[in-house]
Amino acid sequence: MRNATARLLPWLLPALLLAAWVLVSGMGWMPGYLLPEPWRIVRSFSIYVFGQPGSAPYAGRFSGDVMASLVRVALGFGVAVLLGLPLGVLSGRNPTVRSLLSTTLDGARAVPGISWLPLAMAWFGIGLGTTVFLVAMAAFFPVYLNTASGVRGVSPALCQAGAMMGVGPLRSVWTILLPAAMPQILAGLRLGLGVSWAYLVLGELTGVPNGLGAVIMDARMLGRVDIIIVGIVVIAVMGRLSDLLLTASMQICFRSARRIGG
Amino acid sequence: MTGRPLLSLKGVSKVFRNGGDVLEVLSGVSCDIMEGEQVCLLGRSGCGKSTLLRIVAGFLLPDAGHVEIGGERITAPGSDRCMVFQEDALFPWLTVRENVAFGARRKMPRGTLDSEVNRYLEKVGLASFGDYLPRQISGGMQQRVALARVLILRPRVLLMDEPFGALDALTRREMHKLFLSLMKETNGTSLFVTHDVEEAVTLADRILVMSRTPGRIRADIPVALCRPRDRFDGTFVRLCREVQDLLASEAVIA
Repeated sequence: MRNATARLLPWLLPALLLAAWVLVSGMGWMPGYLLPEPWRIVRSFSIYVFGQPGSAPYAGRFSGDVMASLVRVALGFGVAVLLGLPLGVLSGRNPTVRSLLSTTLDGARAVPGISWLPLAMAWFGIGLGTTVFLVAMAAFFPVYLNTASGVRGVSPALCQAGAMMGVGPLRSVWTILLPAAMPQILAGLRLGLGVSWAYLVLGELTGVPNGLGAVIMDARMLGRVDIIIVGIVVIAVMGRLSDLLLTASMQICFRSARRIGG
Repeated sequence: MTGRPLLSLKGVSKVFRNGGDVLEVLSGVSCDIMEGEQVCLLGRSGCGKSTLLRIVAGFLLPDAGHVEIGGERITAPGSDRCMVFQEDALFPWLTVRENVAFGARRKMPRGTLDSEVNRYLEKVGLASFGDYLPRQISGGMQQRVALARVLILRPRVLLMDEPFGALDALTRREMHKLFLSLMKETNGTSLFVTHDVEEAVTLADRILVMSRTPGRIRADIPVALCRPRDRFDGTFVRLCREVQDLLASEAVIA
């Protein structure tokens, strides 16, 4: 009984919210064009996913939008990891690199991500380039900062132990530093992937033809609140799934991710 | 124990600089350690004994003087001088077995590696704990792993940096027994840093008492007691008191 209660507890609040939603929209306290009833959302979702393209607005666009958004997130996040991880290791290990980078990166970090949008549009135009740039820009900092602080916090005794057992400084990055800093690196990657989805939507609000952010913005102009909500739910689910996938694949690839930390 | 020393410290000095502050940590430390000898470096905290050990390990370079092993000058860390650290120097993401195999797998083929790892796990009494992670075993067991992972490399000298300082008294005495039997079995040599007089008198063939600021070797005391040593024995207690007094008089000077 206790066990069942514990398992149901996290779902209590969502259930209450859903009940409130049914009540508010069903009683007509809020007009349907601002807050459609839940069943209408479900219907719009199934048309969005399974409908014959062209049979209705948004019908069957789901897979194309999800693929477009996934590619943008993957590219942007990939660039962030390719830059953030090595730079993080370097600056966590080497005080000269750290002070060389500090002013530039702290300055860039102080700029709200959204203010890069106009510049990105000027440089890359509307579409893939701008979105990937924004995502990479936003995801870089959590990856870099967490890697740097994780690597910096690795006990010198671990590196010394490696050195006396014949592990050179270059090899020790792979065999000692990264595994030892893994809990923080993983946290940085997860944070980075999280903001990737946020900046994906920002990049896609600028008038690209497809993608989850584009659908939301398009639906707003057509007054389709149901589709906006569908888009939001899909983004939430994609965000959660990609986070689970990231954690699981790290745990499959690295025993340090399986064995230490959260 | 005649002939050429295995380990030779020649006028080792070390200075730490912190901004404008200059702290002379070691000043002209010289001594010889013979093969098969157990030598304890005994001193109060801050006397530079750990720094001296790190110089022998090759983690630090001296500002003046040098250290030789078998007549060769030490310039970098190497598996001929292996250190057992105070605590928490096992790789937490590796099992006990993988920790013991870490350095060894670079030195021996796969087939011999497994049997060697088993052999050394048995030596330190952890044969059935190979698949545990460090955090799942006690502090004493962790230090047994630390011993196994360096003994398997057959170092010429073991550098012990207060390895049992964080253990309770009973476990520490067990570790002393284990350590001495392993050293006897392998005819090993050790340089053992401690601030515990009783530990030094229990383990050492020779005690080097250090003074601080700057660190120097103040006395070189041979311990001629036969083994196994009884810490309630009259001679043992007398020697402890003698060494203790030497350390106490040092406190007044510093």
